[in-house]
Amino acid sequence: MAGDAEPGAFDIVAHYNSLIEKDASISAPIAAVGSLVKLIEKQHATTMLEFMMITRSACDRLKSATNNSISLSAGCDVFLKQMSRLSHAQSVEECRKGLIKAGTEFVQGAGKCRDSVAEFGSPFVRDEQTILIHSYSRVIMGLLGRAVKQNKRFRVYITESRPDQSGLRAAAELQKLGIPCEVILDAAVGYIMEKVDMVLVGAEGVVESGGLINKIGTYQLAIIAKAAKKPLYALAESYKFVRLYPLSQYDLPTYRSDLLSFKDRSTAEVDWQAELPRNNPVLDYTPPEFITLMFTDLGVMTPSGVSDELIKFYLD
Amino acid sequence: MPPFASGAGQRKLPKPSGSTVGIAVHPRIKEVGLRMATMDISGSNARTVAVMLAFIDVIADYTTPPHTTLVYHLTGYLSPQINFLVHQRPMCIGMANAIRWLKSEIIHTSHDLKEDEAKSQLISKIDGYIKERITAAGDIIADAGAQKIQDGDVVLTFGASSAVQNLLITARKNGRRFHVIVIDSRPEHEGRGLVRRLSKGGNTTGLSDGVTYASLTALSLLMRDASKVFLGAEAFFANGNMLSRAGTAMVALSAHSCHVPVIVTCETYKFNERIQLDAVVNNELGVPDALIDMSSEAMAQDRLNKVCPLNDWRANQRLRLLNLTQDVTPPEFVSVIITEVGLIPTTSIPVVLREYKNQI
Repeated sequence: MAGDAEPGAFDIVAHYNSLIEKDASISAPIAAVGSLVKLIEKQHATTMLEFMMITRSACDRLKSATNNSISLSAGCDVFLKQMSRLSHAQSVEECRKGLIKAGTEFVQGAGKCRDSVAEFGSPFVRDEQTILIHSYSRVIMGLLGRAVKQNKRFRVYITESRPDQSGLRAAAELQKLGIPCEVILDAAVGYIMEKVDMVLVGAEGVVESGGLINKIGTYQLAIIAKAAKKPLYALAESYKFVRLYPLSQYDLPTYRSDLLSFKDRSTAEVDWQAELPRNNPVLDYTPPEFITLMFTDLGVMTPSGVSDELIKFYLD
Repeated sequence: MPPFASGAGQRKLPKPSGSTVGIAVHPRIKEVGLRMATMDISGSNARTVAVMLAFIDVIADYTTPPHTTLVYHLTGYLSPQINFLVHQRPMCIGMANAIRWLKSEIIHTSHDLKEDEAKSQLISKIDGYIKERITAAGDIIADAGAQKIQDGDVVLTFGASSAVQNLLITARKNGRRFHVIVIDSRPEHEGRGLVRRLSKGGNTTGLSDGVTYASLTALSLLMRDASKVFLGAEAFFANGNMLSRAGTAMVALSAHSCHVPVIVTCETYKFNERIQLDAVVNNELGVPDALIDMSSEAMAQDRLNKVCPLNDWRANQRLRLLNLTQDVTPPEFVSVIITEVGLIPTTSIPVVLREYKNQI
């Protein structure tokens, strides 16, 4: 590939990482687009072909350099699609300018996305409801915060969400907002489901089937919610729509065959506790039939509505 | 009265319409029509391509009569040609879509063009349609579908779909190692051809991990071993129902009940705005004699005077043979459709139809 970075050239991966470090609330696709805008500002390609090749290889470098490739690739895909639309422009310079403008607007608009998800979703929260949420998700925090401001009284169960225990962080934030909350064991989801009125989950990525990819545990939560006939609402900003169509848990780009495979341990002393996070997946795939509705910044839609939006975006 | 009980199970052919009289059918159309009637050209893609290529020759040989223009006259000139084709064998949906597209292209041809220019413009458009919607689409589908095959997969397929065959060969070329189960059924036994083509070429292009060939009756047993099901489609309707070779619905149902993903390949030119709820309202009737067992074993028994009771079915007024060639699979049995515009769920067919309509 012609994409190997020359010494002294702009390092997109480093820029991406610094964006993520600087601002804890920025999500991966936004940081990816931000870094790509920076990249095309700094490079001086003279032909359209060179321009497109440099951008494409930067996307590939980003995807391979981070462990969060699904969410990130959503941003890269949007950027590349925009580039191929603008590539019919008169000159490289015009295309570059158009792309910088579109990319900057995208990054600036990202904050608003989360607000409009909260706006569309908050009417679903009603007084005296018990809500179950999984893990920590910024967009869920936004929605619940908005519901509190509307003086709604509700309780929240939060899964501990092993192995990073991100549920504890969510509990601390909700407590500050004055929402009654309790943290439950991941294994207690089935136990608590009968007491719950609705389930809210975030998403790393929303895929073309209308399903979603999220923190491990979402799938089993969704199965239990469906069995208990409780509504499960997924919250996602539209920049998390990815062009993927998983057919099973093992059909994801993050799949590694060594995860949870049986290894020869007959002789060695095994530290099972230390093995756990190393040997386990961090994401799972929830198929569309388990999702009642999606709250997005484009509105409240059924899972199949997501695939319609993706086709509309990528077909024209 | 059960459906089809009134007809004798015979294929009903449309009467050649009056407009056929006096207008000669172009020899290329005759050739293609007869080859379709004898099943020499039988697949949906093969038929559509053959017909469109024939229309290129028809248009090239066409001259507008005096006192009229190409835009007004050509569609009328093509109608008897199309009638002849339908008379040979009912059109498949992809072909009907392609012909409808051609007619609308003719109508929208500019009146200002000279005849030669209009003709060459139409010919290049037909050529583009074949390349973009069928040939290139098939290549994209094969590549995208091959990505879905992983090492160690057991792929089950039914009958013989050219798209599935290309996909399997592409996956093999990409170095994937997987096993194929070909499920086949009477009366056409199309799967045998697929098995032959897949095992040809040894270790390089053939599937060295092996092919299992079995009859539809063994389906429920073999489905437990399958990890993915790949099927070809003749058409998709706007409500997500799939029209395909008879037997496909059974395979999809079985896969669904065993929780095996069903992956269907279909070019978007085969998407239809119509809605069909079952396979009874519209179906193509095959030749009833195909249902009679013509295997050598059966013939040997005939010689021993254990005559097959179906042999002289025509003499029995109360006996009817029904050879339906298509069935309809409900959308909940299809996990994904692989098209040239990407992988889509059955619920998104109306969106694709709408987007293509907007482009015209």
